[in-house]
Amino acid sequence: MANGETIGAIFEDLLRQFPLLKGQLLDDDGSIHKFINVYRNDDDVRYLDKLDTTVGADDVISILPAVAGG
Amino acid sequence: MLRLTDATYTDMVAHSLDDLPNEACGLVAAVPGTEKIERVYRCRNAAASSRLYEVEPIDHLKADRDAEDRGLEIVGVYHSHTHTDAYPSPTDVKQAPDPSWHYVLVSLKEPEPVVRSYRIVDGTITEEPVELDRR
Repeated sequence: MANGETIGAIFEDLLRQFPLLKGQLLDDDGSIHKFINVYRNDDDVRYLDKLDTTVGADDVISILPAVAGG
Repeated sequence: MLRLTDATYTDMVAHSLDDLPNEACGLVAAVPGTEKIERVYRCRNAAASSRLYEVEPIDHLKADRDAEDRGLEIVGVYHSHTHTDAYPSPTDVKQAPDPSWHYVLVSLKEPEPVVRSYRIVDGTITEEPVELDRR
């Protein structure tokens, strides 16, 4: 369980608990990694405010790997 | 080992044929800790390509939620190869996100579809048996 008022704050909380996730969650420039998709409820946060997307008490955050190939 | 029923096997093959000329893709779910696929989730190919696939992210989210509601978990992905063998391509290996997942290939190269399953761990491809459970 991770807490925070924005996606970025939740990521920081997650990384405090699971430091090895860093390379999975964030790109080198500190933005959301391109191989994951992050949702606030049904909305992709890339189309909201990315890491600054606000999170309320009833919101559910989902982090899923991008699944692709050839 | 990957176990399929007639229904899950047929659904993956039918989806692969339905989405021609593009590659089809979807997710498969099992009871956690088991190898029998209980449910197939057809997903849209966001790449809409005959050479690449990208599971539409919102379809992945919906599949994940539905599986969780049913006490299942997503344990792998299937996709079709329209003109090549049922073997992971270099792109598949490069993008394989999860060493615990089953990577199922449906090849439509020959008149009869071929279904095979693989594990991809640290870039190494290992084929696993696919058992068709007719019960």
